[in-house]
Amino acid sequence: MTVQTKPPAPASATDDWAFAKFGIGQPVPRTEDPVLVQGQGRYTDDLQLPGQAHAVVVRSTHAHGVIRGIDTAAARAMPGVLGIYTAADLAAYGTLKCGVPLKNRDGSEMKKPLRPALAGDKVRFVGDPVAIVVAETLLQAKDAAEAVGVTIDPLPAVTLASAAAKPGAPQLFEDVPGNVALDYHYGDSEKVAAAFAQAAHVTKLSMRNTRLIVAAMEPRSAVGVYDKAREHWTLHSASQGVFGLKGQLVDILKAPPEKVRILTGHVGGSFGMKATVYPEYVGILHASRMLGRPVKWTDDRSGSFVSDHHGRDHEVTGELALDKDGHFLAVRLTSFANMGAFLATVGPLAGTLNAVKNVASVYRTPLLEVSAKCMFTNTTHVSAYRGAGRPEGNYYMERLIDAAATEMGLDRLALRRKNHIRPSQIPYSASSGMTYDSGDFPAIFKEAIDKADIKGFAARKRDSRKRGKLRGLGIGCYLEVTAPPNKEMGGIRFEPNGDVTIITGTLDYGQGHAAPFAQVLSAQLGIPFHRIRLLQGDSDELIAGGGTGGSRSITASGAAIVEASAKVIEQGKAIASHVLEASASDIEFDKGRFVIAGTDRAIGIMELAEKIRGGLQLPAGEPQSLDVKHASESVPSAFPNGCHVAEVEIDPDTGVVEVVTYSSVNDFGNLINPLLVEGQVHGGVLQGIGQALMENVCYDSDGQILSGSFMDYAMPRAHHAPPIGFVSHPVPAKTNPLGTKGCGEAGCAGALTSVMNAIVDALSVYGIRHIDMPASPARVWTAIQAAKQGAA
Amino acid sequence: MPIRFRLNGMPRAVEGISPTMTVLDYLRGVERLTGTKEGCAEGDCGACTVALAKPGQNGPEFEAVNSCLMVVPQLDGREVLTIEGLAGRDGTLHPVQHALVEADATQCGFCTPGFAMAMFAFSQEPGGKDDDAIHEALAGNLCRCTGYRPIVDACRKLQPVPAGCLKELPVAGGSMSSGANYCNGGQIFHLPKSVDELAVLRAQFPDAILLGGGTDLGLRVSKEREAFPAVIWTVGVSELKRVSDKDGVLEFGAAVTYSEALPLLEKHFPSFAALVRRIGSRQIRNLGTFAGNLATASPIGDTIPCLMALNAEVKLHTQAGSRWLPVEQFILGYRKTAMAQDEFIAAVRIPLLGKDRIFTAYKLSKRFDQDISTVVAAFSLSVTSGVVRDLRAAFGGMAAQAARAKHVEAALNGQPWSEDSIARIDQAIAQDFQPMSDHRGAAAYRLCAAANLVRRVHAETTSGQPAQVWAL
Ligand SMILES: Cc1cc2nc3c(=O)[nH]c(=O)nc-3n(C[C@H](O)[C@H](O)[C@H](O)COP(=O)(O)OP(=O)(O)OC[C@H]3O[C@@H](n4cnc5c(N)ncnc54)[C@H](O)[C@@H]3O)c2cc1C
Ligand code: FES
Ligand code: FES
Repeated sequence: MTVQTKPPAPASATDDWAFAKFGIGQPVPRTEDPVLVQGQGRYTDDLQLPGQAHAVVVRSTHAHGVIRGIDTAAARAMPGVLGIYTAADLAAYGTLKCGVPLKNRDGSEMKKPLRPALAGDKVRFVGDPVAIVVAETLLQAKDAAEAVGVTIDPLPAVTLASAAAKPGAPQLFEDVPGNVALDYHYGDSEKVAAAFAQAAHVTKLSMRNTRLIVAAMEPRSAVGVYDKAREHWTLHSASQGVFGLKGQLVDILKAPPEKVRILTGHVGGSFGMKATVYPEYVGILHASRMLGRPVKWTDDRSGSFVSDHHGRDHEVTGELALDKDGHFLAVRLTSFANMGAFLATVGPLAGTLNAVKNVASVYRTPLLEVSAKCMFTNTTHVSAYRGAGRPEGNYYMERLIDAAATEMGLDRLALRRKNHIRPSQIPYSASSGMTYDSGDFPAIFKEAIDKADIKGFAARKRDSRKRGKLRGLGIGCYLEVTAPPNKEMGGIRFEPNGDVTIITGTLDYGQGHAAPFAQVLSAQLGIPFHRIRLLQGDSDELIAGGGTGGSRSITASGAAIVEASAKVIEQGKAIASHVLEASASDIEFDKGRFVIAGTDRAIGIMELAEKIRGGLQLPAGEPQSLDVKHASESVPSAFPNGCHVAEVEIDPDTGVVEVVTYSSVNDFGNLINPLLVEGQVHGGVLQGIGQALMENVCYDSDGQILSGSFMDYAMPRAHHAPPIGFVSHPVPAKTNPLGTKGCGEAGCAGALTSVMNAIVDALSVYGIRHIDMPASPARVWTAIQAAKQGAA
Repeated sequence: MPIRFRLNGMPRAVEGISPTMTVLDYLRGVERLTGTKEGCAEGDCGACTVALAKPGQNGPEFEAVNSCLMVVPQLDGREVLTIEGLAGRDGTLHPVQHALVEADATQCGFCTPGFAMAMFAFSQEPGGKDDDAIHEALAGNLCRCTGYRPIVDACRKLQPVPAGCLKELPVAGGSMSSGANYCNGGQIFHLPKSVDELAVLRAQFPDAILLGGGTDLGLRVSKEREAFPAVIWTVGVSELKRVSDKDGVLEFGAAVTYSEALPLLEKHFPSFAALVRRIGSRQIRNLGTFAGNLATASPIGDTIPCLMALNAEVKLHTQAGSRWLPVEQFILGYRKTAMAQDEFIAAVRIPLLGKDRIFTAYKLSKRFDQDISTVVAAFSLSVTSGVVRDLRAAFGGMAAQAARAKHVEAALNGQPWSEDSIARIDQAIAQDFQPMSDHRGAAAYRLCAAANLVRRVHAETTSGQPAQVWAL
């Protein structure tokens, strides 16, 4: 199953030639929408392949323990049961791997314990898969799964990263002493220490970056198909790019690349979570091989809460050194990052490298040091969630700045202005090692302050007070470093029916890539917008693909499409030279037409494609078609940035916080499609508000998850969404052809910072300096009570 | 006898499936209508929302429900509309779908069918489409992608337009109702039509499960896969659907849903109505009943403290006749009630407030919408010449069962309604309740918040301006 997305035909034939309407920068509506609003999306669980059997996963109910036995006899005898597989059955396959190439501070290798798809000797978290049951129907599989007897000798569990580092803490792996997967360090400790020693003021905060559930609305689902005759594997599954997922699976299945195919249809949200291979996929592929039938598995929501990787979960001490005038001298982060029970594919990244890259933000901070201990605990593994270290890094910095302003008696706006990197200093070499190619941080700051009417805040605060509410205003500047470079495919194929297909390896899981990618291609080649399709979910079609993640898609696929278009033009010139009977070097390409320079003799690209389809005879050794399969060289990271301003009202009696106003000014470089960019910001901001106000994964002392359903895990709902002001202040990126910067994760970065700063601002009347996320009613109320008692 | 209903305008007579198959599984698995999604199967996310019609004064009225919590026989006699029936058969989008497209209100699209159906039902309702009404209508639907704002924007423009599939179809004739029961594979589902039939069944099958809206029981079916051998469904009993407002008493039949009760609650007890509007979501309130809430007898059943404070009574019925019991005596403990094996709840009645009586209820939870309470508080009282009379204060979430706060009442009754008197309640609350600490809130939070809610009633009733509340 692949989903191809094609725009609807325009109202009139001339419409789509009007570049104005579908050109770059136009708010072209998403081409997916008519399908999705009718419920015609094809998500993995909607598939029903002939002969399909159903799998259910048996999971550990203990957070930590030794497996003494798995009794499958009773379950095997139950109606409809086709097969039950445990670790021993999967021994021939490879393990799930962490792909982060970081080293310990002493230069030694990090610990990467192997993770087989099913737990064999030990279970290490509640939800750890131990067996897979396959039956004719889903109900039969569920019933049988319940009948599988797993005997586990429980061991003490540890769920908090800092607790796992304590002497005597339960050990997850024999060969990982002290549970330390990675002892990461960045920066020059001596210089940083010297800067702190000389500082006129040091601000220090300990901050908890909450553990979150990713909670894509579509639970994970997959169908595994093994074709015995061809010794070929097909996995239908959500992903964030089929190329990367295939690479991982090829490794695990130990199969030649041409024997593995990934097909991704519509994806119901992912936010980093569906990017990698999960144990269930290996299990059902194996089951399909054994049974000779397609095997489908779909998680239920309780399963999702423990089996999908979680996000965030860092315990951080942040320190900012300032001189007497408030210039930043150095920033230092010392943290524990919770990895869960295994290293996810990019698990260690958020708390280490991405913290380094992003904490520097829009400020001149000459020195930077980050120490992070990545710890194993008896919890679900932790990995990328919208931002993967980007919102976190910015959050630490912005909280430190507000705290420093309060402590030093400085104005928090002035303190930011003083330290902003100026346009004249760009390109700027940040202490993170990144070189910012573009940006106008002071101007964006000014515009954000104006848009938010900060002057009127005092009056609004008085008005809130009259209604018994505390009001606070928070500022959140941010700068994100988008995902590191990756090769990306730009494929362009002229189809027999006259459509043109873009083939690329990023993957839309809600972003709506089809329209903006088509806008780019249309602008390059003058191909009518409504004739352009997007193909992204079939690994057989790809020669490269970095996938979607780290806000990279428009920049990576955009560059790939631009470069591939240039090749199409080259090939087109050669072919047109035969049609127009002129030398290829005399042919120019202009607005969709190949023209003999200085004449009015020309042929349109679509017409040329039609001639080729019609059997145009072309000399051997010359291009035979306009089709291009191109893999672009990677484009560098970009630096989207901006400033968000939030106002909150707090009811001091109950601790209830409400975000009442929200505005943002953002530099995403050139916007290909402002409509979609705004949508990304909205979504990101609300996820940020969710983390700031309510979301939190809780474990009890046995390692059982307490927030294991949407009733117990608070998700933001419609009424939590304030109107969100969005302004684009583009300063085009200089390092990619479209000048784009990426917008997918920025909303989170702006919201965590601005909302939490606003809450602390409101609570500052009690002398409160910091409050951790989530600012739930109970936590805010407790802080108020404690502050009042302290003051009394 | 098959279960009869209409699906997107087409008659259905369903046989050969378990009577405890959920509507969601039926739609996706049997009908292969995969537009309706499963996001949780627990009533929390709304991805499974479908619209159910019932006869109204001006033609069919649609309401949004969670198909994951309903079993197929609950469709008996009804018109069911799924996302596949919203657009015209020629693919013309329904205005709700248009509004979603125009507002850029879908991203991954997984939540979208559920939102579209909730919005469709909302569009058919009279009344304004201001932000509060929209938030209420959408509270049962989760979206992780869009940040909701575009969806809220799309809701502002809604107009009542019939579903595409119904516009083009003549309404089919013939009976849509099922028989007295539906059997399959050893399971039986009774659909009594009168109180007498129900009483007979109850006596005959004391082990059969009584099913109301199914918003508590549905979880056992969809999550635990319980296949109840025998079910007696109360909602087809017309007497249990009655609502009356006369002689100073409001009476709701046991099968009256929260949504159906709301207009009268609004009229007489606006504060109770506001609290009921926060029970679950629109989808839940279109199914759930007071009777179900009472019979479940959960310590955090939201209506129970309110009914206690209002001195409401429960009508328990058997073949032999019926008795009225005060709610306080009906609730015996943690999930324990005074209902006998052969009894069922027939109605709940609430005496209207006398002159000068005040009633106020509060619910504290992690979220405003669709959340289980941390603390619920309900107060009814009069203040004459500045003195508190007949205060009835009841709390939920403070103990193993909802209960009146006798010490609080004693501390305030006959006392001046003043800050001095209020100063005593912290101690009184601590005498009344020893709440537990859990991940919803610590014991200290519960105690202090409960006391603050008493302060809040005081502030609201004395100043009419909650302005001073924050400074207390
Ligand atoms: C997502 C979700 C959110 C919820 N939110 C809330 C909330 O905010 N506050 C809250 O208080 N509750 C909440 N609930 C619980 C539930 O909605 C209520 O308790 C509701 O009132 C139950 O009514 P029902 O008719 O659906 O009960 P059912 O599920 O049909 O039945 C519940 C119990 O009552 C018994 N019963 C039903 N009718 C009768 C009768 N006539 N006589 C005797 N016994 C009977 C049943 O046998 C069963 O034991 C929520 C549930 C869900 C799924
Ligand atoms: S599937 Fe989530 S409410 Fe029904
Ligand atoms: S659009 Fe993805 S969950 Fe709503």
